Amino acid sequence: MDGVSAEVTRIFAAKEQRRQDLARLPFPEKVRAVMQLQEMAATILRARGKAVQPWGIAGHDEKVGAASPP
Amino acid sequence: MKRTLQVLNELERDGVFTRYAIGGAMGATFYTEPLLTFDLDVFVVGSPNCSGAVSAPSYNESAVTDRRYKDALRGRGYLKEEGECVLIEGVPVQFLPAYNPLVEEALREAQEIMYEDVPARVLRSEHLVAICLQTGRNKDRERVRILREQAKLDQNFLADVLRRHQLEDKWKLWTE
Repeated sequence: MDGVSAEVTRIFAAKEQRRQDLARLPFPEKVRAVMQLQEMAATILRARGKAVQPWGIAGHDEKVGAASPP
Repeated sequence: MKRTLQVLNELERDGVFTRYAIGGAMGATFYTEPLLTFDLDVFVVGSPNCSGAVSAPSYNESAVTDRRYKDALRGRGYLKEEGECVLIEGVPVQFLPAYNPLVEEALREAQEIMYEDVPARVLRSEHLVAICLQTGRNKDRERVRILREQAKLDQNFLADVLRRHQLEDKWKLWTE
């Protein structure tokens, strides 16, 4: 890369490797990572006036008068 | 998420729809690094048991079909909605009735997966690419880029999908 030091090139390569490693994680682990991303993003988005709700927050969905499942 | 998938399986088993598969950002995440999203896109083929509905809903039936899913969920106690989504066990689920031949095919050929010990279905990565090309938003373009980099796309299968759904020109435009 032009104008980028060897050290920065190494860092970029490591970041790319990290992304490839993340892509190979089991799906449930990726879903947990998405939920962590939601928590991080929600703080920023709320500060910008956008209401978002991370998944799995207690009381987020109130299941009322459920007909079947536990 | 696990419980959400269990509820989707119950809806399928009870004939509310005949088949579902995860798409959108969470579908892509199955093949790539985790992608930020706040909803779960679930593509569905309607139930033949419901009046007026056929296995693949006609393209202007989506509102009626959507209402049917929401009614079925209300019957199970899932009353809360967020925009177009229904909250199922803390996850906002967006139901997307199969709206064209590409999505119908993607649903038919979706792959079976296990989420922990719960069976589920995810659209094939090649179909996710094709749907992104067809939808054509900036975020779809970005998703195609990530899928190309990280998913192990079957190039022959993808080429066939793109040819049959007239998406080859868009693919060239986005990738060359």
